[in-house]
Formats: sequence, structure tokens, C-alpha cells
Amino acid sequence: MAEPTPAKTKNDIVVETRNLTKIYRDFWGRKKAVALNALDLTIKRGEIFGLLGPNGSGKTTTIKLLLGLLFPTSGEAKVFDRPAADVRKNEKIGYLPEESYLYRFLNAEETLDFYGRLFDMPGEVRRERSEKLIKLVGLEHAKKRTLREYSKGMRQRIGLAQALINDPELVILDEPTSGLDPLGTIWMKELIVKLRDEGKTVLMCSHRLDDVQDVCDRIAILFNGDLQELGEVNRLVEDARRVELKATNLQLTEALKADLKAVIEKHGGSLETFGHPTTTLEDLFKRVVEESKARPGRRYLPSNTNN
Amino acid sequence: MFSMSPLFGVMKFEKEPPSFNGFGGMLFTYVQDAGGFAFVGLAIWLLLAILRPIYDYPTPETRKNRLISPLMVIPGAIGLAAYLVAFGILLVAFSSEVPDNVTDPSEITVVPTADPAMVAIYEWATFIGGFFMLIGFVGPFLLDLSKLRFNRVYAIARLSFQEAVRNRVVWVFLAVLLLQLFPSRWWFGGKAEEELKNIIDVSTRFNNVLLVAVGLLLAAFSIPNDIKSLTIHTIVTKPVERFEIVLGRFFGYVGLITMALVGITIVGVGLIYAGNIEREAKQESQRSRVVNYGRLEFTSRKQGEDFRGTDVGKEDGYRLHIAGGPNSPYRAVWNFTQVNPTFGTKEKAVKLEFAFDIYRTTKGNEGEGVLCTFDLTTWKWDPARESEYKAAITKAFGNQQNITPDRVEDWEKISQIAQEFGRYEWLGQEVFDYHTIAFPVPESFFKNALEGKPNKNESPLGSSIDGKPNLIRVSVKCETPSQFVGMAKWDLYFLEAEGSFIINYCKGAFGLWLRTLIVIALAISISTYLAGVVSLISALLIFLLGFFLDFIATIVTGRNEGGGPLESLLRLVRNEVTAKELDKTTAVSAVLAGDSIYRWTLRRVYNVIPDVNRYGWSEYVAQGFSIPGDMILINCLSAAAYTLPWLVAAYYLMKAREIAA
Ligand SMILES: Nc1ncnc2c1ncn2[C@@H]1O[C@H](COP(=O)(O)OP(=O)(O)O)[C@@H](O)[C@H]1O
Ligand SMILES: [Mg+2]
Repeated sequence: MAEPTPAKTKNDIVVETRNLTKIYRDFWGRKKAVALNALDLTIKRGEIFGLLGPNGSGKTTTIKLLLGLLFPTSGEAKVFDRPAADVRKNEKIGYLPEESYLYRFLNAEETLDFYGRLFDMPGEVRRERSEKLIKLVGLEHAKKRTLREYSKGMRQRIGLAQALINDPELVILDEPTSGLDPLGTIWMKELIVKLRDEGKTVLMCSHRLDDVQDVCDRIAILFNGDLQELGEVNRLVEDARRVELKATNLQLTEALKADLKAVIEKHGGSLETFGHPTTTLEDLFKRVVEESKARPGRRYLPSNTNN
Repeated sequence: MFSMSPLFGVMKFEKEPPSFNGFGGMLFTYVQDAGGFAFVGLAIWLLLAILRPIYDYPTPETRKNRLISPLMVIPGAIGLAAYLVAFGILLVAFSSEVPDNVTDPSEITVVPTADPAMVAIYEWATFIGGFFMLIGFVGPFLLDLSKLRFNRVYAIARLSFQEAVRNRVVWVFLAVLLLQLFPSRWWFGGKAEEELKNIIDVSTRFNNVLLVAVGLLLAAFSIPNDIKSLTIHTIVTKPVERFEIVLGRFFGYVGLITMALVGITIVGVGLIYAGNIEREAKQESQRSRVVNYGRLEFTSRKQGEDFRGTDVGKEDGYRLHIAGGPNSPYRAVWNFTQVNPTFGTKEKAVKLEFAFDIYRTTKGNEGEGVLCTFDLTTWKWDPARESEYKAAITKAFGNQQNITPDRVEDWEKISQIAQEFGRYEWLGQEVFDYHTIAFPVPESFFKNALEGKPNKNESPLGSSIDGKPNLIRVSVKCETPSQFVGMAKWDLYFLEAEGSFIINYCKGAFGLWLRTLIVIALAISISTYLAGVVSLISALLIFLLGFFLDFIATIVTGRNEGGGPLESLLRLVRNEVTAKELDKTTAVSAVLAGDSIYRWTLRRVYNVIPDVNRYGWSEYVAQGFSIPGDMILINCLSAAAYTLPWLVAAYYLMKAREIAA
């Protein structure tokens, strides 16, 4: 995975939040839920940024705040250096909602034409782009059928095409792989990487760790609305205080474990696990969740990483 | 043709149809009224903006509430200052008597007991206050209008249209068209000559309910459904102004309703012309009379008698009566300030049409009418020439008689006399209950009236309230003893021209269109804040209340006999009679001020309700009268004046709405 270029100018910052907080309230202003708590985030041009967290951790809320679908309780969110409430920023944004909320009585062509008009695009451009996008998402065979007849996976595809109709600079994807079969998931991930390679910035959120690990350059882990971890995937997964040791052709025996333990302790460390390898991000994720449950509140502090 | 036609060709109005007379005053009141709303809207908006701010951070250190702009605050402050002036005057210079017979709540204002200068200041202060409130409230809206793009509004309008069509709303309209294919006598029976009138009456009512119901349903659920199904998330995350969604929905449904109405109208006209209608009905109702109405007053020739017409207890006094008899002093007099300038040039004769009510105190002979005499004079008629005039008539015809244009020579003579003296008489006309009758008036009579028109207030026949000189007077006398003839303003008119029935039919449909447009705007505006069902019920309720607007007006005024609620309470406590003026102590002033706030609020509530009866013009079509163009125009303006504040409110509600909450 290519290293994201470090931010040099203001122009390279696509998304910026400061102290972004969202408290859901009922009609009378009573507190229902703290969905997001004092989030500070910077997303740079050309990277794939992943928001990671279990259900209800505030991922979708963050995205809605960035898009102006919700208004922050306090703090600020800026996209392309414009306030989130400013609709002009939407010119350069493509958004795929958690489920593709499209009009079911339209067919694929009409859908793309409709959203193209919302960007005030001339007719020729709309036709050209929608033809290209329908091909890209592989719906040529079904472009005249109304979305009512589409399967979940097909809807996700047309939803993605809809998000790309304006050739956006920032693509925001909420759970892009949900509802897709394994092949569809791979296709989606490849497409996301391709978008990044075209120079677009991608902000995606997911609770599926493999997705995030495969495509994201940087991630933020949210739990209960608090930012828990933030950094480059590679660096987060490797832990400076931990040493990984890989070996082949070894039997897992108690003797081996005792010998290794002795060597490690001799050098001032301690043996944590001993066994076959697992998905490392999954480990991290589990650990974060468990620690957060034990000690609620913010865990991530900017000094934790050096990005 | 100048015979009796057994018809109902007469319009009945409970109140004056709107006209451009006093347009300036209407505008003035509109600014006062709409300004009152703007004040309320602005106050709520600013309050909520302070309670739930959305901050922008131009720099990390400075923050700015994006819901508040100086464009609101500065005019709002000026407006508030003007309102305070008005309120101050209210406290010191007004009492709160309500005049008798008030039917229009716009008249429920405080009645001055003080200086007219104070009243003028008060009126102007509320006007200026309203004006600035409007700037503060509507200004940001107008500025944002420049951000609207046709393509986006069109896209959403088309979407709404497609949605309705693909959800098979169109079938409803088709079903209705099918119903109209059957002759109406299958449904209603009735007299042959009334068939067309019935068809127009019934189909208008039916189309009205249909269009309003469909418009209401579509509009009330559109945005709430979009929000509920979350489809709106993919819209507002495009560079779409929130108000474009409101406008798009509005135009989409108006477009749909327009097409439906055009279809229904074409089929309606087609059926009328396809010969599905009885011949008699066609001849009599399939017309479009362009008419000239005068103002009616009742007079008595008895010295010192103040006669205002006799109420015989029929029709709630809509028509007032004059007693008959050869020596009866009572006259019904119509004054005309306007004469069509083509009269006296083109035609040989102009028709004077009328239909009166007859009230018999003794049973007359069966099938026999009541005799009436019509005395027409222009402003040039000189009563001193009475004998000279009579002599001229005798010289020409021997004894006085009614002349019709088919007696070419005699018509020539009577025309000359009419032009010379400015007088024309039609004697002993037999009048039947509610039957339209016409007689010819020579064009030369109008030539006499039109030549060298008198200046403002200078006609010997008097003037209208705004000083327009009366040019022609028609005086009606009943000759048959112990019979009463009843009339209302609209019962007698000069027939200016015959217009096209089809055009008139389309004008009637346009009235329905305006009404539906109001409903759609109303429902959409409400639905930007409330859920679908609630919006539907609220919009329906407001709309239906519109049919009872006059009734509501009387309730509102009726309750005010003892002043407002606070004043009533005060009187109760002090055990005072209503008629007695309350003494002016500070406490009383405060109470009066409180009541004027109450009345001010009532008036706001009253303004919320649309005057839907304004747009029901089918009566004109059914009775065969051309719908006056200036009435259409003024009703268009009134529809716009009503819908605009709703749309501005929708703009704010939509802008403030947290779509995903
Ligand atoms: N409209 C809402 N009203 C009240 N609470 C909400 C609303 N939307 C989300 N929440 C709450 O906010 C928290 C974060 O939700 P969300 O951002 O949707 O989580 P995620 O996308 O990470 O699954 C959850 O506790 C959820 O219950
Ligand atoms: Mg979510």
C-alpha cells in the first residue's frame, strides 16, 4: 500500500473536525444519547481513511455531521475548508449511505440522470457519465429495470454509481460492503483502491475488520462515541512495545514455551501469547473494545502515535 | 330576442366580488398583516437560533451563528421600534369599542376615540413596522432565491410527477373522466333547460373535491415520506438548496394537477359540444354574458322618508323589496359610473337584462306577472324639460309606447329623442318570478351619456364613494298594487357583449386550479415540519375552515361585544354595563392594550385561513356570465399573497430541519 503523502498545505486537508460532539435529544431537548464526543480528526487528500467501530459507536453520526445531515451539538466540522452546513461543499462529495436510499420507481438510468441534474450537469455529460458508471458497477443488463426489482447487492452497486456521478474528490462510503457477497466485497474493495489511485480521497466506515485492513491507509477506532485509536494501519497493527516472532517448522510444545519464556524474561520482557497467528487487526480491535469496557472514556491521546 | 326567456340568468353574491377598487388600501393592510406574521416568524426564528445555535468558525478563534444574519436583526430592530410606537399610541389614545355590524375581522381594530392624527400615526407605525419585519423575514429568503437552479428544481418536480404517475394516481383521474361520460340527467333528472347548469355545478364540485384531495394527499406526504424512507439523504447531500426540494415538490404536483385539469376540461367541453346536452339547455346556458353592473339604492319620493327597501323576510334579506301601485313613491335605483365606450357607436340597441323576485300579498291571476316601469336617465337629463320631453314623445307616437328596433322608423325617432334629452322609458313590462327578461335601449342614449363626461363628483346624478360620477340611472317602479318586487344589486345589468362559452368554461377551471395550488402549497409547507398524516389533517382543516371564513368572522366579532376577554373580565369584576365606556385609569389602559394584543392575535389566526370561496367561479359559468378579467387577476394576486408567506415559512422550517435526526 502506498504511503500517503504527508500534509504540507491547508489544501491537502480535505476533512477537519475540531472537538466535534453530537448529543441526540428528543423534542423537549432531553438527552437521548451521546453519539460522538469531542472528535478531532484530519483527513488528507488522496488517502483512504477508515472509521472503525462496533455498531452504535458513532461512525454514521460522524459522517452525517460531515455532510450536514446533522448539526453538531458543539465543535466544528469542515470539509474542503467549508462548514459542513454549507451545501456548496457537496459539489465535490460523493456519498453512499449505509443502505442505498434511492427511489424505487426509477430505473438505473433514470436514477443517475436524476442525481446528475441535481449537480446541474448538462444533458450530454449526464448521459455520458451514467453510461460509464453503469458499466463500471456492472449493471448494464439491468439498467432499464426499476430499482424495486433490484437485489440488495445491485442496489448497493447503483448506490455507488450514484455517489460517483459528479466525479467527486471526496467519496464517503458508509458500510460499503454490507449486503455484498464475498465476490462483490472484493470488487468493492478493488474499486475503492482504484478511486484512491485516481487521486480521490475516500472516507469509509465499517465494522468489518478485514475490509478496513485490506484497503485503508489510516484508521480511527471509535467506541461509544469516543476516539480510541488513530493512525496508519500498518503502524497501529505493529506495536512498538511488542515483538513479533515468526518461525516455521516448529511444534507448539510446553518445553518450547518454557525455553522462550526464559529467554524473554532474561531480556526484561514477558511472554504474552504463544500460539498460531491470527488476524492482527482483529486482535487490536478486540483489545480496544475490552479495554474500553473496563475503563470507559477516551483512550486515544494524540501523543500515542506520531503521525 | 327581446322577449322573456325562462331562465335563471342571474348571479347571486353574498358580498361584493373582489375588484381593484381600493387596491392601495388592500396593499397597505396586506403589509400590516403579513408584517405581523413576519414579526412572529422572525421572533421565533431568532429565539430558536439563540437556543440551538449552529456555529461557523471563520477562524478558529471567532465563531458566528449561521442562523442569524444582520439582514434579519437590523430590519427586525427597526420594525420593533415602530411596533413599540404603535403600541404606545394604543395605550394612551385608543379605547376598544367594536363597531356594530362588523363582519370582517380585518375591521376589528381598536376604534379611535382620540385625535385622527394619532390614528394616522398608529396606522403608519404598524405599516412601517410590518414593512421592516417583512424585510427582515423575507429578505434572507429572497437573497437565497438567487442560489436556485432550474435544473435541480426541475429534477425534483419531474421526480414528484413520475412518482405520482408510477404509483398510479392517474387512474383516479381517468375514473372521474369515465363518470362524466354519462349524461347528467341519468344521475339527477331535472328540467331539460337546467341540464347544462346541473352538469357544470356537479362536475365542478366533483372535480374540485378530486383535485383538492389528490393534491392534498400527494403534497402532505411527499417530504415526510422522503424523510421517513431516508431517500432525502441522497438529495440533501447533493448541492441542493433545501428550498429547492420544497419548490420542486410544489411544481411537480401543480404540474400533475394542471395536466389532469386540462384533461378534465377538454373532456368536459367536448361532452357539452358533442351533443350530449338537451338543446334548450344549450341555448340558454351555453353563453358567456359580459355585463355591466350598477350600484343599487332604494329611494322614496315622499318628502323626508328614509327608505332603504322593504325586507319581506325572504332569503335573509338578500333581496329588498319595493311596494307596487300606480302612486307608489318607492323606487329601486341603479347608478352606473361606467359605460362601455363601444355603446353608442356599434350597436343599434343595447340590452338591459334583469330578473326580479316577486312577493305577492294578494293572490294575483295565475300565470300573470307584475308590471314594472323602467325610467332611464343620463347625467344630462334636465327634469325641467319634462313637459318638453313628453311633448316630443306625443308628437312622434301619439300615445307613449314601447318601441323595438324592428319598427325601423319608430326606432329612429325614439333614438333621436333619447339622444336629445338623455332619457328613455320602458313601460308596463310584465315581470315573472326569477325569469330573466331583457329590453332594448337605443345606442344614442349611451352616446348622450358618454359625450363630455362630467368631472369627479360633478354629476347631477351623484357619485360613487370614490368620487366617480354617475353617468346613467335606471329607476324601477312597480305598477301593480299590493305586490312587492324584490331586487339585489346583481339582478339588473346592461349586456355589454356575448363572450365565448369555452373560454369562460376554462376560466372557471382556472379558479379550481388556483384553489388546488393553494392547497398544495399549504400542505407542502406544513409537511416540512410535521409528519405526513398530521400535515394532511392540518392542511385539510385549514382549507375547510376557509369555506366558513365569513361565518368565522362573525363568531370572532360576536365574541367581542364586551371587548376582548380581559376587558370582559374587568367589567365582570367591576360589575359594569358593557355600553358604558370604561374610565381611563392606568389599569384600564393596560387591560385595553392586552385586549388589542388578543385581537391582534385573532387577526393573525384569521389570516392563516385561505379565502377559498374566492376561487369558486363555476356559478358564473353555470349561469352563463363571463368571469370578469380583473376579478381573475386580483384573485391570482390574492392566491400569491396567501401562498407566499407559507412558502417563506417552509423555507425557514426546511433550513432549520436536522434531516437525519
Ligand atoms: N436519530 C437518532 N436518535 C437518537 N439516537 C441515535 C440516533 N441515531 C443514532 N443514535 C445513537 O447514536 C449512537 C451512534 O449511532 P451511529 O452513529 O449510527 O453508530 P454506527 O454507525 O457506528 O453504528 C448509537 O448509540 C445510536 O443509538
Ligand atoms: Mg452506521
